[in-house]
This record gives sequence, structure tokens and C-alpha cells, in this order.
Amino acid sequence: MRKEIVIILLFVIGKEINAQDISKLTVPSTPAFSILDFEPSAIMRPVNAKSLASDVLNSFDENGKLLMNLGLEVSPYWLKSHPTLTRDKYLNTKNPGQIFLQTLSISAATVKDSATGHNKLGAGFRFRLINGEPLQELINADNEIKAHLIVNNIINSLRINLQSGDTKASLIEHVVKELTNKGTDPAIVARFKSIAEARMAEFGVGQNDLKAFLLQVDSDLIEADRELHESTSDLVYERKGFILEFAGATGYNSSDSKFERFGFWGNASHFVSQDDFFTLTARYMHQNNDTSLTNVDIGLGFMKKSTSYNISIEGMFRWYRAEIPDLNSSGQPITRLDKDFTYRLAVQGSYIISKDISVNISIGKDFNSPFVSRSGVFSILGLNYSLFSKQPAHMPN
Amino acid sequence: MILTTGKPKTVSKSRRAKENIMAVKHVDLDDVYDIKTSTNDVFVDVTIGDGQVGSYSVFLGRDLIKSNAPANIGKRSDIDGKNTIVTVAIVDTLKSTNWTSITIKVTEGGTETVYGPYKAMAEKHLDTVMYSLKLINQ
Repeated sequence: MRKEIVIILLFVIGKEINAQDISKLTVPSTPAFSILDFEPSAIMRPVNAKSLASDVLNSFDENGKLLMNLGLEVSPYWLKSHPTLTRDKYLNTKNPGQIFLQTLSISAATVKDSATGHNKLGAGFRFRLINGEPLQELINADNEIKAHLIVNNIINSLRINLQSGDTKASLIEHVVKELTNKGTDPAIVARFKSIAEARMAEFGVGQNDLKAFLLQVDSDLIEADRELHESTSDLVYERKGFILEFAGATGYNSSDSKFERFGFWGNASHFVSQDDFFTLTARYMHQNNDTSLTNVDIGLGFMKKSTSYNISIEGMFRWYRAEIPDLNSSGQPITRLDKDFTYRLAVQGSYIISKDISVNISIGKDFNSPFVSRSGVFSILGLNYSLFSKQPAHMPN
Repeated sequence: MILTTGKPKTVSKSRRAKENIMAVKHVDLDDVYDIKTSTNDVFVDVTIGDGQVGSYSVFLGRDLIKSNAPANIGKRSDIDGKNTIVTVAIVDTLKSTNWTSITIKVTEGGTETVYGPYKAMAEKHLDTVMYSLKLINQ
């Protein structure tokens, strides 16, 4: 069991501690969940038309009522096959229309408000028009996968073309010979040989046994590349360069039959890497409950991480307008209008002194609120010390 | 001339998609290629669709001719009566879809014969689909 002792020294000015969260300067990954401020316990992500139909049907109970606390996220373009969309086109297209289709995702959510008992529905969309470019790590990983899969291709050509006189040893020898003749990396050849020879004793000598043997080696080779396939799948969604993204969402209160919330986001980012980027976000949010609140935010962020230090800077400028029900001095109901401009600025840095120790600092000023009166200024100085941890010390979330 | 021919012969799963196992689905196909001329070389190429990463190899009989590039399998005198085998392995690395697809083009002089597109869905993300097409050259 991992034990960790963290000593944190805090020097706090102001009434609240607010660490910076640069993720607020990006478009929400699932706008429908974000607009309801709710993460559903069950999220359906259909990847074809059949599973979409099934998921929609499963969203209703036996009486035809929509179930609550469900989430749905779907990418319409990907529900059907696209045989002409090569990997190169998929990764490198600059056509905004194609990028829109590839990146469009639609989300929906249902939630029962535990405080009011009201049923709420959320719906949103998200897409990109400019999508940067793939990381070199992905290109390398794709090439590695391709090189490895040639072994599977040879195995499968033998599986459908077995001849009398074939033995497990002769099949292995044939694969090795073909790979060697084509100048394959000796490490790939050696790995195949080792995996195949380890399985030889488990299978007989008949044709069906030989087919089963080849299928088993085929599967073993795929399994041996599990980490490579998993990391490649993650790398597909990490991009560098300029990215332009938009999203929108609305929240509907079915109990009151009214649209309660609207939100639109636009984000332009430039990624040197996933840990080194600039981002500019514009956001419009409107809430129409007892109090009507409209925010227009424009935020700018910069983040850089290295092996010895992390630094991030966030500035967000907000124009808000709040209409608050109130009573005048005669006790008559009135609507109080509060319009103002406020901003949030934050700088966060951490310096890693050694593997287990880092110093962290956050300073800045949070938004003023029409509802809460406070200075908004905050600063945090922290020292992290990790004991019995193999992970390097890091800034707490 | 463009011909679209071929139907799946068998679709099998070598390993069931149990939790945590990267399953492999096999799609085995058969078809015929009618050799058009005696003088032109025959080239075989493969398009892997759906934005997926994969690898293909072209064989004449058991001999590997080329991988991941157009393969010149020779003239009529080299290929008549032999099988051209095309094998394609595709890993489903896209979280947004489980589709995989291939299209095989055989070019001889100015004539192109298209096989497919063949489509198959990986049962779950990160599974692998292996296509094999055996073409009898005649």
C-alpha cells in the first residue's frame, strides 16, 4: 500500500483559496453535461447506427418515459463506414468541411435535480474547423504497428493456403525466411519466433491443428502489442499546431417547460505540445432561473511544463448582467439589475527541487460576483514532500 | 473498366471478445481475376479506409511480393493458374468508430479491377480485423 505524507504550508490572503484551472479556458468535452453541470453515471457512446438505435430505445422505461441520469455522446459521421478515408486523409486533412464532419459530436443528458426534484434535459454539440496536425510520436507509432502487422499478414496468408507436408516448424521457418528476405528488423523476427515456438507443443499435426496454431500465434502477436495499440489510440487525439473549435449547449427544465440555460464556446489554441500551449476562449453563458444571469467571458491562457518546472498563466475577462428579484423599501417586488465587468488573473508555478519535493505558488485575483462580496485576491505557497512514493512530487489539483 | 466483385466466404473470430482481450476477427474472401493481356504487368494495391491504421501484404502463391506499397506480381506467364493472396491487418485505434474497410485494386495496362470495398466492424475498440482475399488468376 502506498503511503504518502504531504506537508503543505499555506499563506492565504483573502477569504477563499482558488487554484487556477486552465481547463476552464477550453471548450467542454461534452457540452450537454457541462450545461447541466452534471456527469451522468451511465454514458452511452454508440459507434454505429444499430447501437445508436438500441441506446435510444434503452433510454425509455416500459411506460415510454425518458430515464433520468443518462448521457449520450455520438459522432454522426462515424456511424457509417468510409472506405475512401485513408489514415493519411483522416490525420492530415485541411478541408474545414471534412474536419467539421470528422470532429462533430452531439451530446445529450438527462438529470433529476436532487434539490427541486425537477427533470432537466441537456443537448449540445462540438466541432472543429481547423485541427492542427498529428504528433510525430503518432506517425512513429503507426509505422511501428504497420511493421509488426506484416508478420500477421504472412501468418494469415499461410492459414488460408496450407499445403500437405506443412508442419509447425516448417511454417515458422517460412515466416522467418520471408521476413528476413524483406529486410525486416531482426527484433521483430526474433519476437515472432519466440512466440510461435512457445505455442508449438500445444497443437497437433493435422491441418486443423496447424490452422489453430497459426490463429493462436496471430492472436499472441496482437496481444504482445497491446501497449503500442493503446498508446497509439491515445496519440490519435493529441494534436499540435493551430486548433479552432466551437461548441454550444442548452438546458431544458421539463418540469417548468422552459429553457433554463444556453452556452456557446469558441476556442483558438496553438499547441507546441500537450504541455506547452496558448489558448484563447470566448464564452457566452445565459441562465434563466429565479435570477437571470448572462456572462460573456474572454480568456487567455498559457501553459508550459518541463521536467523541472511548470508554469501557467490565465486571464479571463467577464462582462455580466444579473437580474435579481428583490423587494423595495415599500416591500414591493422589483427586479434589481446588476451589470459590471470583472476579471480573473492567475499565475501558477511549481519547481521540482528533487524527485520527492516541489515548491508551488499560485497568485491572482478571482472574479467579483454579483451575489458574494469579497476581495477575490488569493495566493498560495506550498511545499510538497512525497514519502514512499515512486511518483515525483507535483502540484495538487 | 471498373469491376466490383467478391463476397465474403467466411467471417470468424479466433478469440471471443472477452473483457480485456484484444480480439482478432478474420474475414476470408475468395474471388477470380481474369488476366486481360499477355504483355502488361499486373499491379495490386490496397486502400485501408475509415481512418484506421493497418498493414497489407501481397503474395503470389506463398511468396511475399510486397507490403504496404503497390505490388507488381508479373505478367500472364508469371501468374496464370496461380493464386494472388492479399492479407490486410487493421487495428481499431479510433475511439469514435469500430468500422474497418478495405478496397483492392488490380491494374493491368489501363484497366483497373476493383474488389470491395469490404467492411467489417471490430467488436470493440482496439480489436484487430484481419482480411484475406484469395484471387485465382485465370
